[in-house]
This record gives sequence, structure tokens and C-alpha cells, in this order.
Amino acid sequence: MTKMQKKYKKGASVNYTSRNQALRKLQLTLADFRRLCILKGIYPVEPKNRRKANRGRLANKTYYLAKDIRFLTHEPIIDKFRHMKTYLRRLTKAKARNEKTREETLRNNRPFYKLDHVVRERYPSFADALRDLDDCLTLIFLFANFPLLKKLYEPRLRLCRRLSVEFLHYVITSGSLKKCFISVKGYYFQVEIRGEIITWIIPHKLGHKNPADVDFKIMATFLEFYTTLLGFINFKLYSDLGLVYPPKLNFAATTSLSTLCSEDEFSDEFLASLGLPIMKKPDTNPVDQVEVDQEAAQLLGNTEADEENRRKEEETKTLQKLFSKCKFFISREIPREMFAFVIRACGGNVSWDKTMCPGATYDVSDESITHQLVDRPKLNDMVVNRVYVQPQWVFDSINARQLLPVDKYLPGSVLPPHLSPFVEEKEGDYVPPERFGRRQAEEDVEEEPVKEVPSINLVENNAYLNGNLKRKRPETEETPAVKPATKEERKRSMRVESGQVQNVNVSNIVKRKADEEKRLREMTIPKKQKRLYDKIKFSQKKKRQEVEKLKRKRADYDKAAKQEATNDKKKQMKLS
Amino acid sequence: MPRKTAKHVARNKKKYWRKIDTQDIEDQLEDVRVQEMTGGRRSEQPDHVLYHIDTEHPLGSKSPSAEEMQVSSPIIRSIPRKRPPLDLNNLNTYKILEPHSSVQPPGSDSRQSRVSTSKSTKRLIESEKCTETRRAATKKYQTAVKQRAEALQRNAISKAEQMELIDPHVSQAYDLWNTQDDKKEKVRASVGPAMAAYVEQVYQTYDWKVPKHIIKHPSKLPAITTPLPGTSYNPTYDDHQDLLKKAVDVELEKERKDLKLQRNLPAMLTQSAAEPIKQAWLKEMSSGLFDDDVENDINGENNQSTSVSVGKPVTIETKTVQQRNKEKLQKKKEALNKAKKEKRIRDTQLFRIKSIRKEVDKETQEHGQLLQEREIKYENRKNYGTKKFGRYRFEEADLDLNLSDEITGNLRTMKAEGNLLHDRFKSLQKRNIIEPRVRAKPTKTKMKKYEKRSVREVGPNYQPK
Repeated sequence: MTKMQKKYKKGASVNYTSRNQALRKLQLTLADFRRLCILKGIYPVEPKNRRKANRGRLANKTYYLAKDIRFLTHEPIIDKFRHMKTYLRRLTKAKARNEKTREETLRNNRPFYKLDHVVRERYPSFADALRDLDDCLTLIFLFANFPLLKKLYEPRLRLCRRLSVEFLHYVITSGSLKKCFISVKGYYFQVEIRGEIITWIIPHKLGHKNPADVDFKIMATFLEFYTTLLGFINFKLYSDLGLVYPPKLNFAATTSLSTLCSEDEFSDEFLASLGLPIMKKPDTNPVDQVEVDQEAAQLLGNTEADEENRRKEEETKTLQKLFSKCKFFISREIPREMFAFVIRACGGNVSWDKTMCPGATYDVSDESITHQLVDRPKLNDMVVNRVYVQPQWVFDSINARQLLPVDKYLPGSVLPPHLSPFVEEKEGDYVPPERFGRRQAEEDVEEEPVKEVPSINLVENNAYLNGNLKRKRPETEETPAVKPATKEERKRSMRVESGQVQNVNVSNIVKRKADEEKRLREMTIPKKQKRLYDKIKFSQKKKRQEVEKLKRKRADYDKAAKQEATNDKKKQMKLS
Repeated sequence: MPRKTAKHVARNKKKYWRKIDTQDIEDQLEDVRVQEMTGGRRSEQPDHVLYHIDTEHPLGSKSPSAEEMQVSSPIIRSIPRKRPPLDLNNLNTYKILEPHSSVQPPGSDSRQSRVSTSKSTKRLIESEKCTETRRAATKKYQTAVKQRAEALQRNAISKAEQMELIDPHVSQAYDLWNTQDDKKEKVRASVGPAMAAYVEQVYQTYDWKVPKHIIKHPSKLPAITTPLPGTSYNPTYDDHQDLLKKAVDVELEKERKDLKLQRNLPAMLTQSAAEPIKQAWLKEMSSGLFDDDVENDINGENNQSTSVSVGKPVTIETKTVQQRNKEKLQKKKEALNKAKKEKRIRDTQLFRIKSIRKEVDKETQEHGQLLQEREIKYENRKNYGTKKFGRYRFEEADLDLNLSDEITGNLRTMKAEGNLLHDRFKSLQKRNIIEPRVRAKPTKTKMKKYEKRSVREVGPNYQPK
């Protein structure tokens, strides 16, 4: 006989550990345990059967995987936590005894821990780290915009600011900005770095409010990890692009401009203003990932992907040079940092008032300025040779991938709606003409088949089709022809006419051919699936009809609007 | 004295005997034997055999050199030799008196204590000494200060350098994903992989195996949800209406749930509704305590006179045997009929096998579909759902939106909505990264209030004593 199995020696009760058990095993306080879990990326789990996990009891507990906790036992950070505990005890003692020197020495030797190994552990490759950057960036930009609170460790906030500025500079120099959007929550930005799409939010700079039900300690712990992560990522990005890290300006900031702060501080301020280009390492040829990918694709012979890639690359290039011929000036009432970043990321030059922020490269009176961003209803003194636009124009232009006409964005005018670039239209949806970026893409799609058709083995196809036609033509002519009755008529009909050049529309023929093939294929569909197929077809047809209707409506509306405008003009002419 | 032999040895054995060191006796005997072999015992020999007068070296003459002494070794004592003449000038007794140290004797000045007679010179000397010590002290102090400053600076520089390497608040300037542990590599190269593994085992410096699931995210929800088009600061009318509708739907759903809960809970009684119940309870509890029982009694008497019980009187109807038999028969008949009918139905079912099969097929298909749906639902919950950890359930944050009249359509006058920190916190909770918690309220110990007796006594009927 086998030995009797004891209860709760195997299975769920052993695989899961409750939080309190974990605390006892690791000999940590709850706060420390929480921090450790966040740093190491250990998350609670929900057992399938709570009763089994808790030895038959049905209590509301937080569970962790026992393996995870076992893994945590080897963590050197735990030891540092203990050091921290003793440090705090000593410090409080010294404070209570009013021992100033001891307190100071203690403070100078405050224990700390490094998270390098944890980052390496959680993100074994650089791509993994990039994939998880959304959260990291959002949190760091959020804290970078915080005031220096007593709750938060000051050096960490400063680090946040620095890291965020470094990242923005990278985006500017690499030109990887894809989308931007102003929402009520904040500014959404999307970039593409090494094929990874990264989205993050920068909050509006509108005063600091402390939400009541947020555990600040937890967020600070997340921040601790993310600052380490972003530090490494920034270094890697900079070094791969051949930039000097930490970033330095090409232009040396001099203290002669301001005698109030040190040179270091001043250069930092200049750097943070995002208005000036940063230094590149001499004699480095950064590896262009896109090119490498393309070459690989070519070698593999993946033409479709190649096409797609080329289109994408063209789009990015247009975006990078979107504002290259523009020179912007930002007025005081506009959130300078965001707009400076966006304009510079698209290749534009930008400046602002000298009293607003350091890093201004030219003055309002500069005559080469092409666009001035203005967000106030009225302007008193305007210069003739520049365009005054509202800031939304910049964001809309970027999303449309072209410089939009400025007439709708003039100061004081009611702006057209700011559309979200994150809305993805499905195939065949109706797209209002306001959605510029989409429209362009659609046009591309429409053009493509026309371009493609002749490229598919033109000569062979032609010969084949022409042959086919020649064979067919006489047949079709023969059947409807009624036999001429009399000889004369026959004679008359036997007339020889001058030859005409056959007008063969190749694309039309190809299309007809494709349609026929499609029809044949449709016929082979089994009955069961046929119904579903019909359903899909029907829904598509309905959708198309709907779209057509909307388009027609729009066309009518546009026409009417145009006519009205012309009528108004005529009236005015008459009046004048 | 304790015996060194083991105690367990029997006392009548030779082993138990006391052991005495006899080496000196042996030596003595050996010596005697040697003396007897070399011409008799010394003690028994006359003096002239043992000694002779040295006439070669009379007292005071030069003593023989070491070589000579060696040559004239004393072993051959039996052959008398001439002694070298005594060198009186070189006697050991005189030599001892001569100085034998290589250190020169101190000067005659220092050996003599300077005895200054005058008070002034004494004072002068003292003051000189004083200044000298002071100067030495200051010099010592200055050097110490200098050294300390230098050390401090050195320390600070080294510390700064170290901090730059270690401080978590200075971002690291090295490629994390392309570095290798040099120390480990060196060890491996010098010792070999097997030994290196052992060393790592001993010092616990090996890399712990990371559980694979750590790289995975606990939820497949994106960190940043794509913003709804209605949240634009200047949205189109339709988009904004959609957003508002969504928010309204959320609110209605909340209300519906609340209503459902209210309906299922026993209705909380309002004070006015609870009053009659309270009264009744009071009455019941206080029945028989007060005088008003008399009235009740009278009423009771009145009731008694009319009827004894409230309900109808119960009569027990018994069945006769005949009746029972009849019923039995009836039951049997019914059962038979039922069986017959069932059989008939079954027989007819034989002819509609096809349709039955169809029905069965349909049922299984439906069942399969249901299973599939459930599976999909489960997968969705696993991948995108928010799990429940601990006591509290996750509560979704409100949608951030501008109301219709809050939209200004202008960046400068825009009204920002929502807190990003709150949003992040909720997002982390939603993605199963942290558990939802309720902030513990700060506990306040209740103050116990009481009046002093002397104060309490002072009432409206108080009369001072």
C-alpha cells in the first residue's frame, strides 16, 4: 500500500503564500515588503480556488506565488532595508540626544541601494525595456512637473527633470515623433523608437493638486525604479545615435548673460529650454536601424514589407522636415516647453521672449520669423511678413503631416476641432475631410492599384489578353449580325473600311479578369460558409452605401457653402 | 602528589610502582666508570697527580693565545706541560676595570647639573623652555590641522567619485545591456568553469535564476489607453456627445446596481415606521407590571364569554377499508395507463429517429458554443480583467471630461480635467500591479468625559452646607 497523502502538502496550498506569511519569511515590515515587490516586479496573484489556497478557509487575503517569495529571499536589497532601519534608529536617537555632529555624520553615511541588477533582471534585453517605457515616461514627466515637495526626496525630483529633458532631446535629434494630441488630461505624444511605439502623457502645467486617495509612497517607489531604468535607456539611446551623454549644447552658455547663477546651472537651463541642438560625438556613424531593416528585407525578398517600410520612412522624413523652412516665435501665453519640443522635433527653429526663459535665440523683431504662435484674442502691433497663428495649428499640422492652410487658425477666430490622431479608422469607414492625415493615406491607397497593375509582368499579360480578345471579338460580332438578304446589300456590306487602332484599356481588362476569377472563387464556397460570406458582403455593401451617402451630403454642403460665399462676394461687390 | 599511572592498574602489580627519575644517578655512575677507565677516581688521587705548578708562564706574563690553548688542550692531562709566563700587565682583574661599552660616555657638561646661582638666569632659562614647548605645540597643531584638511579633502573627493559610481540619484553612464561582470570573468578564466562555479556557490555570488513569469505583465491592458476623441480640448460635437453618453452610461449602471442592492437588502426602517413596532414591544414587555392590566382582564372576560378558540374545530376523518382498497385499485390503473402511454410514445419515436438525431446534434452544438463562449470569457478575464486581491475590489475612476459649457475651444482658457497621478495610480491597480487599498483612518482615542461629584451635586435643588 502506498503511504496516505496528507492534506495541504501539495498543490494550491503550497504554491501560494499569503502576504503575512511572506512578511514573516522575509522578516520585513509591510511597507518594506511593498517596496521590494514593486522594485522587483512581483505582483499579487488571485488563486483559482481561494479555499484550497488557504487550507480550507475562505478569508480575503492577498496571495503571492511561493516561488516568487523564494526568489525574493536572495535579494541583496533586503539587507539594505535592514541597514536603513538601523540608520533610522540611530538617527532618531542622535536627534533626541541633540548630538549634532553625530547626526551629521550619520546623515552623510546614509545607506542606499542600487537597482541596476534589478533592471537587468526585469528587462533582459533593451527592446524589452523600450516596450515597457510608457508607464515609466508618464510617471517621470509627471514628477518632473511637480514642485519640490517635502514628501519627496529632492535629488530624485531633480533627476526626474534631467531625465525627462534628456529624453525630449533624444526625440528631437532622432526625429521620432509620430503623433501628438492635446486632451483635457494633458499632452499625449507618440514616438517610434526602434520599431517600438511609445506613448506618454505630459500633464498641463496648471498648479499642483495632491489627490487624496493616492498612496504617495507607492508612487515614489515606482518612480525610484523608473528613474534608474530611464537613465540606462537614455544612455543607450544617446550612445547608439552617436550623441554626447550627458547632453551638451553646441553653443556654450556664458554667464555674461546672467550673473545670478553659476555656469553649470545656466547651461542646464539652456538645455532644459529645448531650443538649441545638442552636441554629437565626433567621427561616429550611427547605425540607421531603418536602413538595416530595409537591407534585410531586400535580402529576404520581402517586397510587401519593403513597400510598407518605404512608405513609412517617407512619412517620417516628411514629418522630420515639416517645419524645416519655418521659423517660429512663441508668445508668452503659450505653454512654451511643449510647443518648443514639438516644433523642434519636426525640424523647425523656435525662439521666445528673452525674459520668459533662457535659451531664446532670436527676438520678436527678427524679420526672418515666418510664424508667430499667438493665443490671445487681439493683437495690437503686427508685423506684415509673418503669419500669426493659434498654437493648435502646430499640432494639427503634425498630425496631418503637412502644413495646413492657416486661414482657419488666425488669432481670434473660432478654431476647427482638434481631432485625435489616435482614432484608427477601419477599412471603408467614412472619413471626414477634416481628418487630414487619414485622407492622405486613403488617397495613397486609391492610387496604388493603378500604379501596381502595369508593373505586374506587363508584356506577358498584354500579349495573353490581346490574344484572347482577338479570338473573342469575331465571335461576338458574328452572333448579332443578321444575314444580309439581297446581293446588293451583301455587296454593300462587303465594303472595306479604313482600319482603326484598337483602343485596349489594359487596366479595365485586368479588372474584368480579376472580377471573373473572384466570381468563380465565390461559386466554390461551400453552402455553409456561403451564408456567412453573403452576410459579410451585405454588411460591407451597407457600409459603402452609408459612406457614399455621407460623401454626397458633404459634397452638397461644400458646394452650397461655396455658392453662398460667392453670392456674398457678389453682394458685397454690388454694395461697393 | 597524585600518581601519574592510571588508577585502574592493580596495586599489587609492578606497573603500579612509583616511577622515579634515575637519570642523575645513572650519569654519576657513568662518570665514575669513565674515571676508573682513565686512571682511577679523581677523588681518590693525590694532588700532585691532578695539578702542577706553571713555571713557563709566571704570574704577570702574557697569557697564552686561544690557539695555543687549543693546541695545549687540557684533555691530555696526564702529560704535564709548561705554563706560559704570567703577563701581569694584562690581567683580567685589571681588564674588567676598563670601559667596555662602545657608547661614548656623556660629556662632562651634561653630567654636571648647571647650577645657576642667580634668579634672573633661572627665570631666563625657564622662559626659554616655555617658549620652546609652546612653539613645538603650535607647530604640531598646525601640521595636524593641515593634515586633517588634506585628509578631509581627499576623503571628500574619493567619496564624490564613489558617489558618482554608486549614487542612485545620478544616472548611470554605462551600457547596462552590454556589460559583463569583469570580476567573474577573470575568476572564470583563471580557475576554470567548474572551480568558478564552486567559488560562486561558496560566496553566493552566482546569479539567481529569475522566474520566467517575472518578465510577463500581470495584465495585457496597455499602460496608456488611447485617449477618446471626445477628450480633446476642442472636440467635435459628435465625439464629445459620445464621450458624455459613455459617462452617463457609467453613472446609470452605478445607479442601477445601487438600486438592486437596496431592493435586496431588508428595508431600513425609518423612525416613523419603526415607532409602532417599538410601542408593541414595550407593551409586551411591560404587560402585567402596571395597573392597566385590569382593563385588559375585563376585555379578556368579555372575549371568553363569546368563544373559546379562534379557528374552526378540527375533525379527524377516517377512511374505511373499502375506500382504501378502491383507492389502491385506482392508483394501479393509473400507473398502468401511464406506462402504456409511455410505451406508445417510445414506439412512435422509433419513426422519428432522424429528427431526434437532429435535435441532439443541435443541442450538442449549442452546448459547444456555450462552452466556447465561456472559454473566451474566461480568457478575456484572465488577460484583461482586474482581479481581486484581498478585501477590496477595484473601483474604476471617473471619466475625465469637460462638460458642454466648459469647452472654450481655446488653449489658453481651457479647463484641465483629472489628476494624472490619480490616473496612474488607478491604472496600476487596474492592471493588477498593485492591490487596491483603503486608506486607514487615523485612530482617535475617545476622551472619557465625566463630571466631578462636587460639580454634579450643584443642581437646581442644591443647598450649600
